[in-house]
Amino acid sequence: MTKDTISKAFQLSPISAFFLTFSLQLGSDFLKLPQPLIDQAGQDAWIGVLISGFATMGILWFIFRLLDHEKPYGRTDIFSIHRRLFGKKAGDVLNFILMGQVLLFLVCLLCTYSEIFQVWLFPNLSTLEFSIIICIITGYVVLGGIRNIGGLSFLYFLYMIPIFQSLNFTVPYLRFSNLLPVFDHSLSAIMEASYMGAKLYLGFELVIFYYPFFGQPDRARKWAYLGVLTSMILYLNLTIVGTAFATQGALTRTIWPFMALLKTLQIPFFNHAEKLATLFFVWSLIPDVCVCTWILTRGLNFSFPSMKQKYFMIAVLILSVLLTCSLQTGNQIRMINQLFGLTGTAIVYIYLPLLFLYQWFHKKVREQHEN
Amino acid sequence: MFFRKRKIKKENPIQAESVSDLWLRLENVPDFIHFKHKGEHFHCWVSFIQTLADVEYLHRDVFPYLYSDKVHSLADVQQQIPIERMIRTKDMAVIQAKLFEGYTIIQEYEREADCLIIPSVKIKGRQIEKSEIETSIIGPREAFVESADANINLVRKRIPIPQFKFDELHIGKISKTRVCVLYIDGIANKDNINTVKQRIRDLEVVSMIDATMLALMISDNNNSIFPQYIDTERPDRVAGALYEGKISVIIEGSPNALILPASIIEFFAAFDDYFLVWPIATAYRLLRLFAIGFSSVASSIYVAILTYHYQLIPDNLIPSLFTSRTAVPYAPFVEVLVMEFMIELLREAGARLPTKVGQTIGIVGGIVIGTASVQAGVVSNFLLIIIALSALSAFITPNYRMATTIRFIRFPFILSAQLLGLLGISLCFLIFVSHLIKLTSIGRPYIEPIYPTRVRDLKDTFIRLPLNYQNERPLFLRPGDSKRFNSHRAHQKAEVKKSELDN
Repeated sequence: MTKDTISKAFQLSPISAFFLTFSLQLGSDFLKLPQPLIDQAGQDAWIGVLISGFATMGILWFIFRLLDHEKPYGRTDIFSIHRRLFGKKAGDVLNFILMGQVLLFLVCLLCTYSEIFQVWLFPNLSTLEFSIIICIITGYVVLGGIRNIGGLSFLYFLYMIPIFQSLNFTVPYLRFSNLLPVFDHSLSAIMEASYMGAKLYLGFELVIFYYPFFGQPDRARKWAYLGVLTSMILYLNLTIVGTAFATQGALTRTIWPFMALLKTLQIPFFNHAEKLATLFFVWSLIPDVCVCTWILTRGLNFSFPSMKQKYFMIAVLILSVLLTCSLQTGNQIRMINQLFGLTGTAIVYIYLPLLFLYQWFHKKVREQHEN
Repeated sequence: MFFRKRKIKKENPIQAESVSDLWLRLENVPDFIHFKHKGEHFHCWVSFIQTLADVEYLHRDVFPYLYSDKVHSLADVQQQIPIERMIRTKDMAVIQAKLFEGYTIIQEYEREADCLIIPSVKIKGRQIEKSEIETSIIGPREAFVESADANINLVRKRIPIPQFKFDELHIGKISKTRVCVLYIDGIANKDNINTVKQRIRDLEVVSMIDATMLALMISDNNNSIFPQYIDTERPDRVAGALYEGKISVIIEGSPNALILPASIIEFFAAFDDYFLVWPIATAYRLLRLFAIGFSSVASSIYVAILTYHYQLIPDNLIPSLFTSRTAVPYAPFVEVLVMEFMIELLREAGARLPTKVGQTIGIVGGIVIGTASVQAGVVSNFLLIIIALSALSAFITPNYRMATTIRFIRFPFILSAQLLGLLGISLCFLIFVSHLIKLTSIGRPYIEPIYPTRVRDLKDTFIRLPLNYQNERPLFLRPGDSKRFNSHRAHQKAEVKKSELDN
């Protein structure tokens, strides 16, 4: 069995909670805004983003309660919770289901980004080549542990600041009258849009896997909320700018509206600066892929402690390369993204609250039993 | 089994077993002096190595006492001679080691191990000169020499407190090189000191020629192209580092001192930044960082854009760029490689030749070859500008070791640009950064103020705030005493500045 506390040399600083949450949430979703919400809510898409943002924060609160209740019993991650509540076999099955979701996330990211790079930067890029290179880098980082991943996600935040500042260049082209009339859609349409928006925030729930690595969980929680808040503000910005930038008809036909926004970017010495901006997306890919790989290797190691984590990592990386290469067309990638969104929201909004209730119930029964 | 037995027998061939064995081994050594001294009251054997010992000193200050009528035994000699730090021992290891350090050995009987060891080391070395490699326009000019004692003297002059300590270690199976680990007790972190000493002690080497060799062996990652220590020839820099809470290592026979641990930003900070007013120092630092970024990726961006991403070329540059490129029959990749290769050849030739010839080579190479290759149509003159600028930028790095690294990392960048265009450059950069995040120096994170983020340490990295704001030592060293001075008091003492309008 693994030890209950993580040695101090491997702990994450509380502020890493902010960067990890932020980078995992953004994933590749910021490229699509406000396109997924336009169909349902039109110019009111920003309301949906706002509602789903607050809902995400509520769920995050639940998740932290769930994890903190686990403190007296051992390690505060989902693997230990499952094993404690459901026994070894059933717990492992549930762990594997959650890990399947993480693998899906990993494959989604690799597919989406290789598609983006193929379309926007390097048409000759083969998905196999790209995913192999990314997986080699990932393996190198993951071997160094979660602290290195925290470092990469911090650098991601740093590098993304100029990218999002480039939205300033869109200001002359914005027509805020596009946002009018406000509240023009029915409540059900807004709720549908919020459901689509909730998918954008997925990734924050991965904290259930690396929560015990925070040395000071109290402070880490605050930073995690701040991370969600930051990405909410960012999403809100992107939605409003996106809606004001293009007509709704154009938006429904654009796959990556963010790239259209970047086209307004102009810097000296280079034409087509959006291509240079695309380079920074490598940074949004790598921390997320690293976190996913790290989680998967940890999960496998939890179930089969006799084997070394290194070999699991190689296996996971090879598997993800194979899965990524098996998805060829854009439609397949869209489908797997939808699948990820569906399963992700199901896990976050249905499964985790239920687990929270079960944990509470379990505790009560036990107390009664003891009395 | 037979072989193993022989091996065990010859286990320690360097160390003589007895005194007579030692004398026997030294029989044919021409500069070994071994004679019987016959005084009126006292007979003894004197042995020393002529080239190491100060013979004049021996004749003047030691031998007269052997004639004295008060001397009857070795103990009397020890009492009479007014020299400090004499050793009376029977330990063969000490005797042999001291003999080869230049000490004189006096015995009553030739075959007995009972020896009196008198220090008579000849100190002869280079005069302290101006620093040649790390030159600075403002500030002290002294540089280290090959003698460890002289070097420690240079540092000690700047730190006149008893807490300034150094531990002596001897490494090298044959060379027994003296290694001194310098630190200020109470300021330097104890773990750091112990780690450094432990690593030095654990070394299994035959000889140690230079401090940098030692540094390569004790650094955290031997395969990394990034140096994890600073080697300097400036005593003021060493003293400054010690005051900061770092550790310095000085080796006998090396004009370089090591400073450990190091973080990457320090390699881009010239020491005379501290002698300039802070806005100017900050501007120079930022200039240097920009130069390093430019130097590492400029030529690879040229390759990437001209090979794959024509769209990025600005409209008004297209005519001039393509007129210069049309004459060139080669792909940008080949063109850049040819040019980089040329620059590297020039640099290497310039570095190996004496200064004056080196300058000539630089001028001949730079002007003649550069112009000729453009006229011959091997490279475009646009590329010539980029390569020359990036070479210039690489030499801006204050630390020579880091400058070589910067020049080296261009080549992976160029190769990846040829393979995957701008995406390749981005991925290559990612690889280097993930390597840097992993890297440590004596267990301390290498890119410290950036990650792990320490806002407090940023005051002396990309920017350099005024010296009276630098009241805390860098956090990444985990110093024993983190406060340099009381900032509150410092600000109180500073004259209260009144606006002239208020008078």
